[in-house]
Amino acid sequence: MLYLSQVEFLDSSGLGAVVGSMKQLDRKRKLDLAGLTPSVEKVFRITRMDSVFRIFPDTNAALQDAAHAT
Amino acid sequence: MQHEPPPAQVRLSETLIDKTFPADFRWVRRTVQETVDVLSRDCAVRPEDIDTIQIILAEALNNVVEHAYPEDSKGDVTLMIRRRRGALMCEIKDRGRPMPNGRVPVGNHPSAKTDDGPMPEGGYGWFLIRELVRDLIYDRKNGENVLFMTFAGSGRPGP
Repeated sequence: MLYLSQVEFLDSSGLGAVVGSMKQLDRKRKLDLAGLTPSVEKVFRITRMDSVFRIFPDTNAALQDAAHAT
Repeated sequence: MQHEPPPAQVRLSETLIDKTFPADFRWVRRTVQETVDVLSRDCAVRPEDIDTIQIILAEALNNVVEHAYPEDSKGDVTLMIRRRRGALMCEIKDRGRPMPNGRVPVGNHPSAKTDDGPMPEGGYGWFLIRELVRDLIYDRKNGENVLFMTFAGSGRPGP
């Protein structure tokens, strides 16, 4: 999981870097994102990356989801 | 009946930003941040519009740094933002190479090209700009690239 609450701004090359790190994972693993600031959230939403990554409001929500899944 | 002069805030055109700086990433970052600060102090611009403008400016200016000038001879870039009848409009000028085919890239979503292939890691810049601007006009004159954009929903409605 990438926790992005300290990232105030992300441009298209930063977005490419997040996609790149996802591709480094093996296929069974997923990269989740949490704590997106409004501007970063907008970049993910406009580029429709919110359908590629699971996006959680914060780490708690992400961990709860993981607990439910197991 | 006597006509009153328009109040100061509905002046026909008002320049908010007019900056010329070296086309490199550090200057782009600094100038975009300064612009965001100026717009944030301007109570007529909504915070969500500032996010949008920040994304557009960063993408458009980084494109100038990356594509207009060759690596070994970086020139200057000018960013101007004006308010006219309540709407914000922006002009970015540089003296680098013209856009390919003299046009702004189409800016399709990068995954449209690859379909089932691996997810592309680049090519989102023009897609973002096109999704977020209201108007986008490119002109090349006297050896200068001029990119003119207006931002949707920014500023109060005109008089």
